[in-house]
Amino acid sequence: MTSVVGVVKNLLGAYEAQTPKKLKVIDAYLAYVLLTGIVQFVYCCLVGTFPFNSFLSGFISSVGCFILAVCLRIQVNPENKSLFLEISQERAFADFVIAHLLLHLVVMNFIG
Amino acid sequence: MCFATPVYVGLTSSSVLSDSNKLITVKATDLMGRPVDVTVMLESLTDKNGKAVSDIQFIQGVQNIADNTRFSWDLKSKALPKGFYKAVLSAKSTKNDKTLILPKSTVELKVIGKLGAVTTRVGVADSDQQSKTQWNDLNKGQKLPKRLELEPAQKLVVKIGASDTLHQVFVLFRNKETKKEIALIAQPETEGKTDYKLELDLTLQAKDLGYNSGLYEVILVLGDFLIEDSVEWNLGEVNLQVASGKSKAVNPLYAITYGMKPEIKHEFRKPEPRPPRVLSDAFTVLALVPLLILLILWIKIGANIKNFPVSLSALTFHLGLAEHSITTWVLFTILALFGVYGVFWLKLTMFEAFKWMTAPGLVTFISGHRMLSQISLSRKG
Repeated sequence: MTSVVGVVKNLLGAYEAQTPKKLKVIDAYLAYVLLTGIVQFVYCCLVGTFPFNSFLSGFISSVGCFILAVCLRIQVNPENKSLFLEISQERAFADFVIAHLLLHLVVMNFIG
Repeated sequence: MCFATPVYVGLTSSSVLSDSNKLITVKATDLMGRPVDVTVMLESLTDKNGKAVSDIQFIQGVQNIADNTRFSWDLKSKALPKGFYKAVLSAKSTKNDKTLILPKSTVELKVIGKLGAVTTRVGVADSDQQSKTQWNDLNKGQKLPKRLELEPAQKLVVKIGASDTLHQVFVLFRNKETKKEIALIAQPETEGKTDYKLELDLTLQAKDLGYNSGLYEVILVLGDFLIEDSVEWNLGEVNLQVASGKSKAVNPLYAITYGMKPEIKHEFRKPEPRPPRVLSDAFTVLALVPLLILLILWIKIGANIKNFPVSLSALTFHLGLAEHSITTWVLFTILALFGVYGVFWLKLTMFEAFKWMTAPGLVTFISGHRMLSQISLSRKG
């Protein structure tokens, strides 16, 4: 048991020390989106999917945001720099913002 | 007058002659309906078979005093059997006028009369013809002396002997309880004769009676196009024990029902039950809690969120301030775009929403581009 706690502590310490601040900000966002999605799913399990389009658009919004944020994280991560040479961090962020705007246009159209 | 004048002779009275009315009236005029000086003769009257009525030959028509174009004959004294006749009429000039064209005209007449003697025999026979049929002889208007009782293995026989040929001979069975009527046709028993027969087999024809046993009134309906007084003759009651069976269900589309049909009401799909208000409100709060967690995490990580405009005065300050103004513009216009999304959700159509989004969208694009290129430059430099 102690070893598991130790491993987790080690992991958190390493994450704190080695992860750039930008990635931490994105990770926080990912956690936020994940939690929101889980809350919606729990509601759907408890109550049912009656306004199905509303549930679906909310859940799709969460999933879409998560995927977009993961994409941003991959592109911004300095360790992957060699993979995305021609994509600057700013370009990645602009893509992220525009993709969000498009995603939510669809979500709003579908929400009913 | 030197022109020839054709004379028209045509029937003006009814072509149907009965015992109470045997008056034939014709009109003799020129083609314009003007009077001409003629007298009209009933030359002959022949029946359907071409046989002339012997005592009708060249009878002079009686000219009407008020209207001298009309001529009439009263055939009351003549004996005319029921049937169809052809009358030949001819006109003759009184002044021997040679310019009149006087063709013979033929008029069709129908003589109707009362129904002659009719006798009916109602009998109960066994289907297997083993025993002799029990007959009840009835004269016109008479009823059965007592109710007849029939069993499934028996059949009801109705024989009608009439002095005339009858076009319509129906035997109507009216259920005393349900008032339902079943009409059956009595067929001529021998070709060309005036006797008719109906057999109702309670086993073979149970279907016609709808497999309904019970008390029936038997009504004889006699009619013809040459008979004035059609007859509906109640023969009496019979108790029919019909072979059991199940009548075929009538397609409701073709069933005759009197009265109003049920009203067709459109039913909308009922919405599914909603959860209690408290539960959905709780989940609204729960769905917003991660946002709070996000802000706390970001502050903990030390993200640069101090520059976020919090109040309206701060917003105007930031929009004016050169250093941060572009960042603020970007944030502000993105928020404006999401605001448009909110309005789009609540009331706009997508095309209206696109129009609303042009201004903030353009500003976001330009300012965002500038902001990011500035950041890019500062990072490289």
